[in-house]
Amino acid sequence: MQPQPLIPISISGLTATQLIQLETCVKCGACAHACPVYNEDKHSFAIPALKLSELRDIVNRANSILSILFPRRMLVARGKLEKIAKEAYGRCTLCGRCWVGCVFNIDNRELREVLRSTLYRANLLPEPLMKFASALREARNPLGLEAKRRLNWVNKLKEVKVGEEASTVYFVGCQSSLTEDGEGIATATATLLSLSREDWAILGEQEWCCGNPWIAIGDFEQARRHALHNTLAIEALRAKRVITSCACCYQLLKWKYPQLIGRQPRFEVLHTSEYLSQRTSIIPHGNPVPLYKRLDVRATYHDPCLLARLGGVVEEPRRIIRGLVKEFIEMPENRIDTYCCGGGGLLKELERDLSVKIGIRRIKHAESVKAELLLTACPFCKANLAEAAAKAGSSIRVLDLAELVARQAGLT
Amino acid sequence: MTVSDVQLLLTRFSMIDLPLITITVFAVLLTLRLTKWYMAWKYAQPLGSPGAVKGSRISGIILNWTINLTPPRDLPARLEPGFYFVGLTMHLSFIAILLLTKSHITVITGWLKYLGIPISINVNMFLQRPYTHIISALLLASITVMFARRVYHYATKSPLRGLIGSGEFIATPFILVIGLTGLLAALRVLPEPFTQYLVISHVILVQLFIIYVPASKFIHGISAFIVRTLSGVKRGRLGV
Repeated sequence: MQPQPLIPISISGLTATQLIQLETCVKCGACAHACPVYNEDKHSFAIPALKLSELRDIVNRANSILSILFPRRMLVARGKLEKIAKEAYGRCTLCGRCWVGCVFNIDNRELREVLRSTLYRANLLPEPLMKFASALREARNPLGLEAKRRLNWVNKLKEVKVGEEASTVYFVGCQSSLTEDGEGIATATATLLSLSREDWAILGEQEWCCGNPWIAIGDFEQARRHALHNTLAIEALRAKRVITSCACCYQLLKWKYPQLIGRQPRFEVLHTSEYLSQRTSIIPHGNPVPLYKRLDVRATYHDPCLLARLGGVVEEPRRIIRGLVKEFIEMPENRIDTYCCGGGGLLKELERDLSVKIGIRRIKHAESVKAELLLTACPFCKANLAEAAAKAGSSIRVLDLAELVARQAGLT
Repeated sequence: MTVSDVQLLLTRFSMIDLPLITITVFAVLLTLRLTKWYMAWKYAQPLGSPGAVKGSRISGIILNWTINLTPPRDLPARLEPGFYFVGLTMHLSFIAILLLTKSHITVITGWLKYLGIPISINVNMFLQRPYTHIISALLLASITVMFARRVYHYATKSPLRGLIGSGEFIATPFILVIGLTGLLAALRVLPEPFTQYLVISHVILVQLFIIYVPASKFIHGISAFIVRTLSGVKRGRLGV
């Protein structure tokens, strides 16, 4: 048997806080029970804490005094690293439930990103993700489509300012602007903005992916490039406010961009639900908008992980929904403890079946409270939950919050 | 050399000579660990812009150490309640036995005086028997259950077995033996001079444990406070 080639491994980007977190884990396994992936796939490698031990092992090799004295310690067999890479990229949706599921609140999600970044820099990106990354690098969107396709949905509307100065920029997001399924969300949000007499514009072809997939891949430099491009593009339009209907874009624009670009952007970021909950003229409480009667349906709401747990938007969507439907019921695992839909962390690119299985469990949560309508506030969640509902043969309807508001206002 | 000479020698070693070694090794290992953390320190922009912050960081920390630890709010408590309560009992009784009992406070103040730190505490206001014995029994019972949980996962080849390394079979029994020697000595179940030997073993084991802390997973006794506090800051900023 031929000896396996050895790869030098180095860690960068690990902060002191993360290192302390890494060394605090006592491997109690509490995170396993919180992990949506582990719940579907009872495998050791699905346990978040186990990934921490792998990272800790790499950190100890790369950052110890022994490694300075014996540099060969920093060499790891390629086969071993490939196995770690397969598990580090798969079996995780980066939903962050292990963070609140940990008794110490160790942010396993962030540590997983560091692990992925380490493996990415050692050229250990799994094959299916290589194609994905190269499409993302060339087209600046994860679907690998031409930038002009971002305007397809706009053509169906009247008077949309593209790349013009405006006080508000609608950051549409790739899933909403480039997929047929997401177009409904973009159209609904745009219509609502116009109805609110908002001075708004979109970036159009100048909009790049927010950078979230790059973080999931582990290429923080590319994520920074996307963040900088989008920030400058938005600031060039002299916008004071950015509204987005995508939870991933929201989390990045609002919380991660300052970290990525190293300064504070000159605009405020709002999710559609935050914006709509501020606009009492659209939701029924005020209402100059010709709203029809409340939708006679039993509805529930799925908190997108990046919007609720990692974005801090929890009550606003509920406030809107309560005004739009006759009966609103909470399903299990809500708010900060929200259960993942299965659509994040690039899991869908690597293990589609597992991703849908997680979605099916979420659909079952909704069915357990006898909901007829499942609302969410993220195009990725909507797509994955709709696919899961179809696979599970469920009669539950999945809608985005913006779509419901627009529908109830008689706009679509 | 008579039995009383041996006793005297061991007592002197465990209570006078060993503490100096323990404190020195502990300080060196802890400094190494803290240096490692410090070396990784770098400035990073805080999460979100100042205008984006949804809540107070202070309230985030307070909530994370109070309400967020209660069963209605704490996710592990809801997912595995048995594990939560046993774990909680173990940690609380460990803290209580260490910091609320007369016998241990007497030793701790003695150590502090030995280090030249003047301290004046009325030790009689701390817990005494039978409370000390009850707390010790709770500690031992909860550690045993937690250890049994690990052994169970290991023996049944459950997926959680992956988390259990050989260190687990050293660390937990280690505390168990410390607790057991302490309780048996306090209960005086053995005749003299064996009770005295139990006390000496207990004192030596405790010091070995102190040395072991910075080099093992027991460092979480220190780092957990940092992690949960920083997590409180993050939750405060996010408003969750």
